[in-house]
Order: sequence, then C-alpha cells, then structure tokens
Amino acid sequence: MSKNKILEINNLHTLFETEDGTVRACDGVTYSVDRGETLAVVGESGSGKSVTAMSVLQLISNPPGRIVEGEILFKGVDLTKLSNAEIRKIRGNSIAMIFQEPMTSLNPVMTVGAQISEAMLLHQGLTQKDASKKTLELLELVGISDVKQRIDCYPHQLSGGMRQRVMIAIALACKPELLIADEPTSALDVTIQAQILRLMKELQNKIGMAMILITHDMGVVAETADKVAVMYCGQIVEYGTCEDIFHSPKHPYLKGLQNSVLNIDLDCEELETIEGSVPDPLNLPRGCNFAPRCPNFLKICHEKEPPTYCFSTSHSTNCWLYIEEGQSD
Amino acid sequence: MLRIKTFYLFLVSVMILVVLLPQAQKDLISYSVFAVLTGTLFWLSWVILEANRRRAKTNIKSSGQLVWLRLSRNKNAIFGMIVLILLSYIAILAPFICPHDPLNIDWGALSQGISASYWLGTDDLGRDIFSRNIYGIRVALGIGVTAVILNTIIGSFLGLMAGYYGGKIDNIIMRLLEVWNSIPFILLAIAIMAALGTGITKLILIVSLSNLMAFARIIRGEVLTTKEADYIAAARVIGIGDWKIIRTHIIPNSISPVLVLASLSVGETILVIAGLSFLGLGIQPPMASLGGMLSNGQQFLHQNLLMSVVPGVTILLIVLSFNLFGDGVRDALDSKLSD
Repeated sequence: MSKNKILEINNLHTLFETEDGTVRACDGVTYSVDRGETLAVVGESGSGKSVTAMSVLQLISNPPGRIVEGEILFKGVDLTKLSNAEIRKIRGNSIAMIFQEPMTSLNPVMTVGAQISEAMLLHQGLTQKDASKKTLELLELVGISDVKQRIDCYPHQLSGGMRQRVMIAIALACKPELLIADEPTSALDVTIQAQILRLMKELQNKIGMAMILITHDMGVVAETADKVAVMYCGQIVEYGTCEDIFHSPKHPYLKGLQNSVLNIDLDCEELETIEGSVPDPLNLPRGCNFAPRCPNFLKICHEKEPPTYCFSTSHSTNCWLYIEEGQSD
Repeated sequence: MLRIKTFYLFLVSVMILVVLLPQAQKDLISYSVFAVLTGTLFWLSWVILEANRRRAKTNIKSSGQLVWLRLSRNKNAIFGMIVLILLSYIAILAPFICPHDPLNIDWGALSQGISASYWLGTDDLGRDIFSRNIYGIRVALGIGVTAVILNTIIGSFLGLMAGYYGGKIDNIIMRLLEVWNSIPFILLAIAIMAALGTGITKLILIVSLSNLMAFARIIRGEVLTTKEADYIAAARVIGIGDWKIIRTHIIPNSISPVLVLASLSVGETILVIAGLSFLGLGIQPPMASLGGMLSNGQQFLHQNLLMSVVPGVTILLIVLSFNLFGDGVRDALDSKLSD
C-alpha cells in the first residue's frame, strides 16, 4: 500500500437482509483516496454510493445491514475490525461526514454553537470556553456573518445555505483527514450550490484533507473531482481521473449518461436516454448488471460478470467490450 | 430584574420567610423547604435575566421564551398556574397558616357552622374543617406530585430503552408493561395494600407504578421517530456514544409530550388518591385527606353540608387548575402551532 493513500476500500460487500431477500447494496467495491485528493462517487439513486460511505464509518445498522466481505483500510487500519469504542474515536475526529439534508441534519432543540462544539468537546478535550472560541472561528471560516449572534441561533432560524455551512463547520471542527460529503449540495438551489462547493474546495486546500464527494450531478463532479468512480447497482463500472471519465468514457453506461446531459452548444431536438430502468436490487440479472439496458451487449454479458480492464494505471472499467483492448487484472 | 415576574414571586416569598421567622421552630422542615423554594425562585429569575440579556441584542427568541409567550397568552392556563402556585404555597406553609391543629378534637364544638374561631366550621368530631382541608391539600399535592414524578421517571426510562434499542428489548419491556397494565387498578391497589399494609409510601408506590404504560408508550413512540432523524445519524457520525446521544439529542426532542402528560396526570393522580381514600384504602384517619373528609362528610350531608362541600370544591379546584395548566402547556409546547 502506498503511503500516500489515506483510504483504501478493497472488494467491499455490504448486504441488507430484507423480508423479500438479500439486497447486495455494495457488491465488491474497490477504490482508494490519496491525501488531499477529491474522489467523486457518482451513480443514480440506489446504486450504493451512500452505503459505501456509511460502511466506511461503520454506520450500517445491523440488522438488517451487514458487511460480509472486504476491507476498509484507513491509514493502514482495517475499520471493519475495530471495536465500537475505537471506531467512535475515528468518527468526527479523523473522518467526518456531511449529510444531504441540511434541513433535518441539525438538532432542532440545540443551538448551532452547541452542536458545533460537541465534537471538539468530545475528541479534543477542550474546555467549554475554548470550544466556544473555536466555534466562533469555525463559523467565520465557513463564511457566516454576525457569528456572535448566530452561535446562539437554533437551526430553524437559519436558511438552508447557512445550515449547510453549519454542517460543514461541524464536520471540520476536529480538522479531519478525510471528509465524506454525501450529496452536500442536492438540497440547495444552484447559486448556493456553487458557493458551498467553492467553500468546500477552499477549506480542503486550507486543511489539506481528502474528500469523498458523493453526488449524481456530473457538473459538480467536473468542477471539483480529481478522480471519479462511477457506480451502478452496487458495483463500480468505471474508475479513473476526471479527465479520463469526461474525455474518454469507456463503459456504455457512462457514455449513455453523458449523452443524456444537455450540451448547451449543440442544437438538439431530443435528448438521448438510457433505455429501460434500473434492475430490481432483489433480482439482479446474471452476468453484467447493465447488460439488459446496454446498446452494444455481447452474448457473454448475460452469462458472466465482466472482469476489470485497465487502460492506464488510473483508468479502469468493468465491461466485456474491451476484452482485446485493455489488459485484464 | 424588575421586568421578571418570577422575581416578584421571590420577593413575596422572602417577605413570608421574614414574617414567619419567629415561628420557624414550629415546623422546621416545612420552613426549610420553603427557604429552598425561595432560593430556587431567585436562581430561576437570575437565569431568566441572563438569558434575556443575552438575547436582547439579537432579538432572537429562544424556544423557552417562545413557549412562555404562548403560555402567557392563554388565560385559562395562567389562571390554573396562579391557583397552583397559591395552593403549593398553602401546602408548604400549612403548619403556619392553620389556626387549629387538624387532629385536635374539640368536644365542645361538634359539627358547628361557620364561626370566628372555626372559619369553615367543624366536623362531627369537632375538628376544624379549614385546617383539615389545608392539610388535605398538603397531602394531596405532596403525594400527587411525588407519584407523578416517580411515574414519569420510571415510565420514560422504560419507554426510552424500548424505543432506542428496539428489537428484543422493546418486545420484552412493552409486553411486560402490557401484562402489568392488564391488572385492574383498584384490584391491584387492594392486593398491594392487603399484602403490605397501608401507608403513604405504599400509596405513592401503587399510584406511581400503575400508570407506567401511558408514559412508556408515549415516549417510545416519540423516540422511534426521533432516532431515525438525520441529526441522530449526524451525531453518530461525529462519534458520540449511545448515552450521550440519548441525553443530549433524543430526550430533549421527545420530552415535550411527556411533560404534558405529566402535568395532566397530576390532577388525575390526585383524584385517584382521593378515590382510594374515599374507599378507605388511601390515607388512613385520623390524618387529614380530601378523599377521607369527603367520605366522612357523606354520612352527615343533611346535618353539615360544609363537611363535604369544602373538600369537594378543593379537589375540584386542584384538578381543574392542573388540567387547565396542562392543556396550556400542551398548546405552548406544540411547535406545529405557529406563534
């Protein structure tokens, strides 16, 4: 393992046992994040992006969820093997997370100041006075004005954008080495989205942390990511640098996605779509999960799961189409 | 300081304390309880003052202030609150207020009407109804409030565990409570009294354990919805342990219906205790109790109406003001109503 890698997920399988059967929410996911780097995980709803992130923090509630296989190495330590008390020391301290819904992710009966200082009091052993001083600094850092007044506000007294800033402040409270942002801008309107993304990027450079950005917005990816992992039905179908993904997409799913984004320079009558819909997670097809919707499927696609083909050290895809072109792992 | 109403209550209490100082040795315990109450009032007004001062600049109201604002607009609730404050002062200061010993029998004045010496007349044994009534309030409020506090703590704890941990723990706790709840209350009271004998502590025990289901159910439901909230997941993400999550995130978010239920059930509990005393299962004579007085007065309805009317009206007043206050608290805490 290279020293530069802060998080390495190897062949992670997370299952959910439901009454109707087993859902393989995360089916052999492998990716890694270097220090200071941003990895974007894209995919549609239910493709296992969030489950992977929750698995990293060991927040899959058991039952029904269970991590059955694979390892999650954070600075060389396998998080899946840690005890509850040990993982609690990592949560919020070395790995922090930002949630999608700023409206519901703050406790309505606690002042925002108290919620920001909570993690610092817990992990850094600060006194109440030092913590509130640092809270003021943090609020200023995330671009909130009138911090002296805002610190005593309750969440309902703040706007959505401000609440998301507060969430970021909470996440950054202990200067984490890895930040997992689970669709941090989905609930905000477009101008605020841009502000929040710029802020996160800025703070990332300042603190030097790595970031996993979970999103389904390709625009956000293009703007912020260094590396991209595209997920479909619990598996990573393509993995590469931002450039690889946008300029030479390989997997038919990714190509389909890009065709279905409106290009502002082209005059087109009708937007292309990907035929069909996502398969039932309880009842996945044999072979490649994408095969039933794939425009250029082969016979083998319906029979065997595709292996990983590497085009360069950073760019790889799971698809039978490249059997000759790429090298198999 | 002068704009805070609690402060005036404190001043009045201090005055009462000073006036009563020469007689303090009459009942030191009541006097010191009252002194503690006075101190609490001062502390409370200080806290409110500090909060107001901090909020004054920002013009942002805290949730406590909003609740108080809504409560103070409700005239019925304020009426209930004032009556309750008066009654609790009377209850605590009973030994200093009563003109006669409630147990003292005056053979020369049996079953008398209103007079200068006996303000509300005497009962069939020549005991002062006014004094007995005041002691009755003391006992009713004392037992009622203690029982409800115990009830709330035990019931909420069980409901909290059931709701938070769920699964097996939930099933065990709730099924046991259902079994417990299926025993008729009066039967349970008679059985426990028969086994352990009568007495105030046993009375409190019976009353506080009988209503566990209501509290456990209501808080379990609240916890079930609260624990799924995103901010609980967010709290877990920053590494907070179970107990701290329960203490700082779950309880403050699910406690308000419990507070409402508690304030409403004090009245109910007082009624239940009066009922038990009426049946002869509660507070035993000669100790004064509202229910006992009522039951005693029933035999003399034609000779001495005061014997039943006075405790009856008192019970009515206590229960009514608790209900009015409880209703007001419910409306004030209901965040869904706009302010």
